[in-house]
Amino acid sequence: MTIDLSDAARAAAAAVDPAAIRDDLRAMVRIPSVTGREEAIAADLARRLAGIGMATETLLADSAAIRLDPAWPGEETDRASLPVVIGFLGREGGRRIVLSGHLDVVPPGDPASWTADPWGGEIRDGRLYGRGACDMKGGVAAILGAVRALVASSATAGLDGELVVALVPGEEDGGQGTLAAIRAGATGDLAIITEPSSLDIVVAHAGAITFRLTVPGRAAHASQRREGVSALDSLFTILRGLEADETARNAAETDPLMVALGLPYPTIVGIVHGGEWASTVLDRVVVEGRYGVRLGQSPADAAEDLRRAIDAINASDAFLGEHPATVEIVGGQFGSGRVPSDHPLPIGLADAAEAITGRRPALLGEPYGADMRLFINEGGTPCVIYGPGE
Amino acid sequence: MRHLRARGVKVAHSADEHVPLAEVEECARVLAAWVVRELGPA
Repeated sequence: MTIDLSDAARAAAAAVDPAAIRDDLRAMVRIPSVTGREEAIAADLARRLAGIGMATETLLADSAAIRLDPAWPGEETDRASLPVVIGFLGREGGRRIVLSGHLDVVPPGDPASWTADPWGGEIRDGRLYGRGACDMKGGVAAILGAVRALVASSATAGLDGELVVALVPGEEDGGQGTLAAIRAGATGDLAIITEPSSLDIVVAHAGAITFRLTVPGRAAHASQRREGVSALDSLFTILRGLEADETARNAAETDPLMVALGLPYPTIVGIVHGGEWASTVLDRVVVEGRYGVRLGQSPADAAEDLRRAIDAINASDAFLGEHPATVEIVGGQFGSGRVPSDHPLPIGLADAAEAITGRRPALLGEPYGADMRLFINEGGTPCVIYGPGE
Repeated sequence: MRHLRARGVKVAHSADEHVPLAEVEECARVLAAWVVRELGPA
């Protein structure tokens, strides 16, 4: 099938400047922007967007106010500010489309585990290395490259509508930066987030909530261990119950894109705390973990599923029935999101990609949370993920 | 339209995180074309 693409669209694509993209990306990677510390990179990106020719605003969103928003997704780090950079190109009043990316990155971990400086932007064999190079400063550089090309090819003068670029903080711990951008009006008819997707199109993603479980036991001296009840035994009972719950929740999924993932809604425990003395039967274990949010569910719906599962496990065990484990929901809360596979957004994007690259992107579901759901569920803006990197 | 199994998260958040520059450039070309296609000529 031949894809119809105008001369102006092909000219804009041809105007992309690889050297400028490489320079933008290397400069961004050299600015550490671990979640909660995005001020310097936001200022840099505001300068870059303005330099390209976008009308640019930096919103210093009110962190206290955003925490009161009913859709506030939580946070897992301290922050002094929530800087959101928004650029505008084209004509107000017509159709409006949004390109968005986050500027925060996760910490680099042990530097000894790297073969490159995490903040160096080294280029080797056509790949640029560094924390955030893939997730997702590469995607932000692609947005900058596209805007540069629109301006350089004079396509801007022909736009019958407005392009909005929203560059946000705080994605890695929940998405409050995108929520702030949406509340400030950075919405439109269609949106693309350039998170890494290996240039396929993500039309569905699961969500996740973080939970803390306090699991009781009964202390006793090790020499009289039968007098006590180890909280570890109770924890194993709960883990077996959560495994059965995970199996049932995943088996109930019918969306083919999520079924294809095999386990779209994993439940895991990633942190375990317990014990004060080696020869005392454990009287308490506190664990933290992650629970999947199914398509169509809000984080609150998933929390209700989890509470019901824990209640059922408590009720099925003699000790836990009298000394129930308790669950709290803490940290970042990622809802799920879905755009129909036959929606004009993924179809139009796939058409453009096929026309430019000769390869039609696949439509995918993903098991992790992303800001896509905020544009869909809170911004009323159909949104997909399409970006470079794995 | 192909519906393929997702390949999973391998590079994001890992040590030696990297991105192929050719993919970044290709993404920029597609985005530029898509914007013009969606917003159309005046």
